[in-house]
This record gives sequence, structure tokens and C-alpha cells, in this order.
Amino acid sequence: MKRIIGCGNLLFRDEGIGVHLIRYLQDKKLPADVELVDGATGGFDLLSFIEGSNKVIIVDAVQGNGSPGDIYKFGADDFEVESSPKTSLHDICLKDIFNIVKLTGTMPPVTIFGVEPKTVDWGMELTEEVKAVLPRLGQLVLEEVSHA
Amino acid sequence: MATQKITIDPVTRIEGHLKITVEVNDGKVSDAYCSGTLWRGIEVILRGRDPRDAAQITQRICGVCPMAHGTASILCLDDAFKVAVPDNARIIRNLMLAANHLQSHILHFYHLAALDFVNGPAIAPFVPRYSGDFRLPPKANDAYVAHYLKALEMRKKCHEMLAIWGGKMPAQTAMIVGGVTCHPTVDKIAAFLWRLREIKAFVNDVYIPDVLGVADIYPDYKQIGRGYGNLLSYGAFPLDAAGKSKLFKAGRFTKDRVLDFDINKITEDVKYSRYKSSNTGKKPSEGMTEPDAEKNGSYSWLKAPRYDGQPYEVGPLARMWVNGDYRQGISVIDRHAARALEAKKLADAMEEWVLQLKPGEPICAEAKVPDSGEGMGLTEGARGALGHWIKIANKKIENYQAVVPTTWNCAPRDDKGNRGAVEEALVGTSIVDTDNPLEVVRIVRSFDPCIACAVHLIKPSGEIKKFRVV
Repeated sequence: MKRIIGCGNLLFRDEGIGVHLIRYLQDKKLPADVELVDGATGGFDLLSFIEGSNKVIIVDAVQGNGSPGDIYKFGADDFEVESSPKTSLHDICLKDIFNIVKLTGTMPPVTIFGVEPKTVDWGMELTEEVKAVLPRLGQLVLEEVSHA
Repeated sequence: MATQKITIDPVTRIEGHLKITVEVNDGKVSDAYCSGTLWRGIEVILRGRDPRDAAQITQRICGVCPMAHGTASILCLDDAFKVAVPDNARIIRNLMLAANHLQSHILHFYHLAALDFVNGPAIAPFVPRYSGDFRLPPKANDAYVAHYLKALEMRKKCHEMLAIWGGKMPAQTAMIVGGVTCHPTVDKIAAFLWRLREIKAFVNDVYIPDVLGVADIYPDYKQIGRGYGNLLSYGAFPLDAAGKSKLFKAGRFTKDRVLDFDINKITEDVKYSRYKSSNTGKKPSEGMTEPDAEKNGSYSWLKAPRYDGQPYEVGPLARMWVNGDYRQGISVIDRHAARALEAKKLADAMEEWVLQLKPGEPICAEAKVPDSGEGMGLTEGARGALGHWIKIANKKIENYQAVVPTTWNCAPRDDKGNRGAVEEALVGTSIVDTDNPLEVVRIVRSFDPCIACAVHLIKPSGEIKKFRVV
């Protein structure tokens, strides 16, 4: 099974882009071996969807100092996150999850699509700039997941 | 010797985190400040919506305990809509919440708290960590790594148990006002039961012995992190239709006595919180959330909830203590032990409950949106007492408030200047090495804090521009 996992918090406008993309793709025709996952703010919960997959596409908001709506594409090893000892389960981030999956020896190929947010604040709607990239983002994600 | 300040602040990792500052004099913590940086603004989103939306939207508050928010919200709506749920629905709701407690307890011990005591291999995810006082023999450390991996599998099974009824996890979709949407069937009951039996075996044969193993080797941690010794539980897991009897009863423990609990005695102070002071001392149902980021003297985005003016600790130890299931003591080790023993109590209860389901019988009562009304939903999340409050006007949400468990534990000082529960638990602790404040993190983690229910942006530290898609 290949999985498209949309991450983010629906309550924080553009931060929820990943989940919005999953909702956008729900109405589209998908290959039979592709599953859509609303990863929300799953943290550890994403682990079950990553391990054992043949291929994983993750969509999330990425702060890359670009313009709102900019799309980034990179792999699991292409970014580092400054790490420090954790006080709460909330300190777990995607990089930690990748490290754990690697520990279990079941790491599939992972591609991350990031979108530069404009507004990260209370609200459930995307800003116009970010909403406008949904079709293009959806197309890129589907192309990527369809590769062998 | 001059006062030394230690700040534990994972600010680079995510936004909306927990920050702890302790002042150390002569090797002892002389004062502590606990700051939460989550601004609780859920009502901004909920106001004006159909009340039924709240049960779905509030689950998005938290990626670690969406089920607890879903439960508090649905109880709050049942109350406002004045509807009684059938037994099948009550049981299925209990099974889902209990499954979420189990996964949370296992995750907390193996993937966070144990890292304080076990010297795992020097690779991610076991590093970075503070160095110093690790006492377990090498053999126990090796076994722990195997248990770490097994625990991942166990909590996946806990999520599967929840999803049998809830459809998905995170953010289940089965709970609606008046009941649930899924019928109990024999195959679902069987699928639930075989997972549960495996998890029970893990709790009894691995989790509890591992916690006891840590307790044996760190007996000094039974002496630290006590705090006020005030414990509070809202009660959870109703055992009858009226909710009169619960697996965990509501109550509180203070000054060596277990006492009744009256929700009307809860107020929230904001003198040291970043909210307008005109809103201090209000009941949660009447609370307003008007931010005042620059307020003089404020140091936390959390309010300071108090019961009858006093700070209380919430969580598994509080539940188990009030219920009479655990009375060994109040300390770092006792919090871990009570959490593990609670996992056993829940798993045992779940096996009884699932066999009480009656296929073919009702799962939902009819519920109409009232023109106006008020509701309150009290339950227990894995991390403790959780309450949601709603006001409905013209069939829409007029106001919505949530007081989450960590607001109790990680609260700042109240208007009288009394410290919050975690702050108080830190004071007086001896710190061996201020560069590696293991004692501080061990105390804080024993509370299983949950703060950053908000934002998890990827913020790469490297060069990202080259990855831009044109």
C-alpha cells in the first residue's frame, strides 16, 4: 500500500494544509493501491501509517522563508531539526518518527511536500494564497505517488 | 552562593510548548516557574457554529488525546441537548476512551519517561538526553530497547481497538449526541477482545514489572516531587445509564482526607497569565479568553485553575488515590506506578464491558438541537481532569470553554501568589548537576504534561530553498 499522509492542525488555518489536501483528493480518482490518511497532529500515531507502507508522501506546512503558497519537495534525510531532551510527548516531531521507523527497519521511501503558510492562527479556512495551490499540489502529489 | 537559573525550553522544536524555569540556591531548587505557551482560543472558532460540530472540532485541539476532548465534548452536548444515551453507546464510548488511555500510558512510559532512567543506545531516538545518574544494569538497558519496540506495536493495537468502533484514529467519527454511530457486532467484539488480551499480557508481564524495576533502583525518587499533595478527579467511565456509578469516582484528596467534589468551586485566576485581569476568578463556564500578551508580571498563557482557591494535581495518581486503588505515596515513582496499575485496572474493566454489549439493541437516542441551553461535560483524559462547557443560543454555539488537565498541573501562580502543582513539586529538590538537571525533568515528566496542543510546523534548520518546486 502507498499512502498519502496529510499532516497539520485544522484549527490553525494554513497549518492545516495537509489535511485540506486530503479532503481535496477525496473526490479525485486515485490509483487502487493508494490510501489517503488524515494525519492531523498525529505525532507518534503516524508511525503505524509509515511502517509497512511501500511508499509514503507526507504533506505539511513548511516554514522555509519563501512566499505564501510556495511548494517544497524533499526527502526524509534532507532536513535536520535541532533536537533537545523532551519534556512532553508533544515534543515529538516528524524527524523523531523517521528515526523510530528506521530503528524498526521498516522505513519506506518517503517524499515530503511542504507548503509555505501565510497565516498560522485560529481559524479553519486556508488563506486565498494557500488555497490557490491545492490543484497544483494535488497534481504533484499524485504524480509522485504514481511513480514506481 | 548566587542563585543559578535553569531553563528547560524546547523552543527550537515546536511552538506552543512547556517551559520550565527553576532557581537553584546551594544545590536546591528555591523557586520554579512553569509557562505554557498555548493560547486557548478554541471558542474563537466554535462561536456561531452548529453545536454538534463541537464534538468533531474539539478533537483537533490535541494530537495526543483527541479522544478525551471528543468525550468531554459529547458529554457536554448530551447535557445541553438533555438526552440520555443507551447502554450500548455508553459502553462503546467507554471502550474507546479506555483504549486511548492504555496507548497513552504505554507511550508515556516507554517512549518518554523511561528515557529518564534507562541508558539506551547513543542513537536517535534515544538521544539527545541529559547525562549522569543512570543506574540500571546493562542487561536491563538492553531489555528496555526490546520493550521500547514492543510497546510501539502494543499502542498500535490500542489504536486499532479504538478504530473498531471509532472508524479512525486520530479523530474518531463515531460519537454523536445521544450515542454512537456503530453497531456492536460479534465480529467487532471478537476483534476487540483478541487485541485486548494481548495488551493485557503486555501490561501485566512487561509494563508493570518494568515500572517496578525502575522503582527498586531509584528509591530516592519516592521521596521527591511530592508537591502540595492535593489530588483531584472529575470521575470517568460511567457504569450505568444515569452515570451515578463510575469506574473512577469524582472526588479530591487534601490534608489526608478524601472529600466530595463540587464543580461550582472551580475558578480560574489570571493575575500571572497573559489575559486581561478583569476576567480573573471566574468559573470556567463564565470564563472569557481575552489575551493581554504584554501584561506586567504575567509569564504563562495558561490560566491558574483552583478548587476552593487551592491548587490541585490531576492525572492517574489522583484518580487511583481518590478511588482507593492506590495509596502508596505521592512522588515521581508513585505517579509512574499509579499510571501502570491504572492501565491494568482499565484493561480488566474493558474485558468485562465489551462482553456487556448487546448486538441488535439501540446505539443512539434521538437528539434535537435546542434553541438555547447550557451543557457541561466532565471526564478524565489520560493526563487527568478535563472539562468542556457550552452555551447555546438560537441553535448556535454562543460560548465554549475547555479546561484541560495540564492547565491544572502546569498552572502558573494564582492571584494569591500560590504556585501551581508542578511548580510546587519542584521546590526543595536537590540538583546534583545544573548542566544536566535530571531531577527536574524526571519530576516534570512524571506528570505526563501535555501542552502544545497546537502547532507542529516543520521548521528545517538547513537550506530549504533548493527544494522549492517551480
